[in-house]
This record gives sequence, C-alpha cells and structure tokens, in this order.
Amino acid sequence: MSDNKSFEPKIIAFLCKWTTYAAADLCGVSRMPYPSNISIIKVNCTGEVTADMILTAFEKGADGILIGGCRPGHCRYEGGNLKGANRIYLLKRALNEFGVNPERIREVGIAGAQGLIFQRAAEKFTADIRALGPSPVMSNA
Amino acid sequence: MPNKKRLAFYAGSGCGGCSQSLMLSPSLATMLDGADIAFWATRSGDLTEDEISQLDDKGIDVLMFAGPVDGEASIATAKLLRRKAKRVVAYGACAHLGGLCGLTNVIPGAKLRELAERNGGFIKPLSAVIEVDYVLPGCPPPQGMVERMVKELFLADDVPDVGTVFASSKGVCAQCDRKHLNNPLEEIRRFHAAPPDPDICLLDQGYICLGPVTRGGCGAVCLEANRPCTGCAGPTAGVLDQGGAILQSLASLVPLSGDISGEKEHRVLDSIQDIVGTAYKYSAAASLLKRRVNDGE
Repeated sequence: MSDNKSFEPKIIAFLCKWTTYAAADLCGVSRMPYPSNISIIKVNCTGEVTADMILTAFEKGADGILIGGCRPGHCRYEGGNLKGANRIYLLKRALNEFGVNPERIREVGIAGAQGLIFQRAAEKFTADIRALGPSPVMSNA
Repeated sequence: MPNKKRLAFYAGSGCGGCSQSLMLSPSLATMLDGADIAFWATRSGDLTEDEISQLDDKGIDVLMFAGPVDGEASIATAKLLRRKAKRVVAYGACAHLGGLCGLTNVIPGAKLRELAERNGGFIKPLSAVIEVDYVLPGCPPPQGMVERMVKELFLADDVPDVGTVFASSKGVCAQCDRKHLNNPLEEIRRFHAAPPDPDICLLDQGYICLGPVTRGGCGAVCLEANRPCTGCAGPTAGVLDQGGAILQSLASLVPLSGDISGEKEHRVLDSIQDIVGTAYKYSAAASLLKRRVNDGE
C-alpha cells in the first residue's frame, strides 16, 4: 500500500471499439470527465488483446490495465469477449505467481450508450489502483 | 580453408550440457579445422578475470557464451568478454533466456535464488547484460542447429547478419508429424496418468505442449519420443513472452460453454498445474516480467 498521496497511477485501457470505446467517446462528447490517468488503446475486440500486450504494458510501467469489451453474451464477434476473458483469467493466475497483484487488471463490459457507467468504472478503477500504489514491475531492471 | 578464426567457449555457470553438446557434435572437427582456440572454459573457475584482461581487445572472432548471468561478478566477466570478442553467440537456453535457472527468479524461497541474491542479482539472459550478436537456442542446442552455426560462422565466407538465430523462425509444430485434429481443450491431461497417442497432436489430446509458441529447427525430437515440447528454444520470431503466448493459446482452445459466468471454462483452466513451471520453464528470466516482485500483499 502506498502512503504517497501524490501518486498518479498510469492506466492503460484496451477498449473494444464497438462498445466500451464508444462509451468512453460518449463521455467525451457529453462532457462527463473521467480521470486523465487512463490512456485508451482502441482494439477491435477484447479477444484480440494478447498476453504480450498486457505484459508489455506492465513492463513499460503501467500500474493498472482496464479491459473494456461488450457485455458478456453481447459480443460483436459472438464469443470474442468470453475468449478474451478466459485469457485474462489464466494470465491473472500467472501474474499472481510473479507476485503481481491480479487486481491490477480489471475487466468491464459496458454498452456503447452507457457513458455514465464508463465514467464511474474509470473513477473506481483509478481510485483502486491509487490505493494499491505504484506497480513494482518496472523497477525490476 | 580461408583465414582461420579465433574461437572461444565460456560457460559462466549452468549444468555443462552446452559444452557437451558441442563436444559431441559431428561438426566439431570441421569447426576446429577452420579455427584456433583462444580458450575453452567450461567452468567460470577455469579462467580468471586477470587472464581475460590480458587478451587483446577484439582478439577473439567468435565467443560462445553458455550459462546464465547471475550476479555482479558474472556481469562484469560478461562485459569484459564482450570487449575481447568481435562476435558473441548466446549458446544454449541459459544464455539465450536464462534457462531453467531462471525459474528461481519466480519461485519463492528457491535456494538458487538466495545464492543469486547474495551475488547481487537475479538470473538474467546474456542479452540483458551485453550485446549479443547471435543466438543458438536449445537445452542443450540440438545437433542440427550446432551444425548450422558451424557452417554459417566458421565455413562460410560472409559472417551471418547480426541477430541471426540459428534455428527456424517457425514453430516446432512445423516439423512435427503428428496429426492435427483441431480438438477443443476440454480436459487437461498429465503424463503420469496415461501415455498419449503417439500419432496425434498432444494439444488435441489435452496434454500441454509448447510446440506452437516455441522456435523450431530441432526436428521436433521430443515429440518423436512421445514427450511434449517444453519450450527450450524460446519464443518464435515476433513473440515477446513465450509463457504468455502459450497461456493465451490454451485459454483460446477451451470451448465456450455458452454460460456467461465462464465457470466450466475456469474449471478446465484451473486444472493446469504449475503455471510458471509449465509455461515459462526456460524463459522466466527472459519474460516481460523477469522475476517475482512484491506487490504489497
């Protein structure tokens, strides 16, 4: 746990372009601010997010990773988000073995019209990562 | 024979299998025909730092470095050797990826890790410490790859491009003769329970095999012996994290049950034992996370 009040977490968000990305976009056009700690990378589907992408983000200093796709059962590509979820599930087990808190990855499923829900999810995740403190991975030279 | 090259072999630590693989190679005689030996140190104690310092800078044409780097002393030696050599080959899985010893970076309380920590470091692949020109993967390097290295480094007129890996850029599966059925992964099987069918892809049968994510060129010899590929040659070209790659492949092979809670899928994934020892058997030290960290838990 970090006592450092000035710690600003770096969060990488891999957002599905059909839903959660659209929700983030809706936040923008509706002037609903969400924390600037979140840097968004638009992906076609959360099933496309590879282990390399997630682990590289940690290696380059990300403190948290938000993965936003379609709501379960509503994937544009039938089961892409569920396959992606299985991937994250297994990867979290590996992260745990490496001592990285699996809570640093969070999955959300937000529909394109739910800008407010994205705003809340982004705020909650940023607060949770701030409480967890900086990721120890990058100092791992 | 064109002008003779000066070669050197150095094994910092490790098991000694790499120097054995070179000694047993049918291409050893050919290699020695085309080269003079500057030194051949199969243990770090064979060669002191003073002795290395006395060598001419860039006086060695090809240095084969085997074994992992595990602390300040070995980092200093590696840097010194780099100054003395024009070309450095990371020889074998330990120099290439950190090898089996790299697992101690992750396993809590490992004795070897305590030792490495006392030496002031963790297990590292050679490329994390010095510039490496070529890689000869494998634990130990298979004879086909050793032969290719000898041919390209000692017999050809041109030196190979820097960055050459003396293996295939394709996966082990490319050389595997087993029949691929595209079966979904519904149950994880382990070898002690029942031996697999020798003609069908191990992943199709539910056994974990790192063939799809591992560099080929070895001739898939382990699979011929009805054993799985454990990934000694490191990730295929273009993949950064070998363990992550096999984990995501396994997760994708599990069929979707249609239940959005994913319980059934999680049961299959939970039955994978020893995630790091399976997925990162040789590449833990060269993985993107490199070693176990303390995340305040």
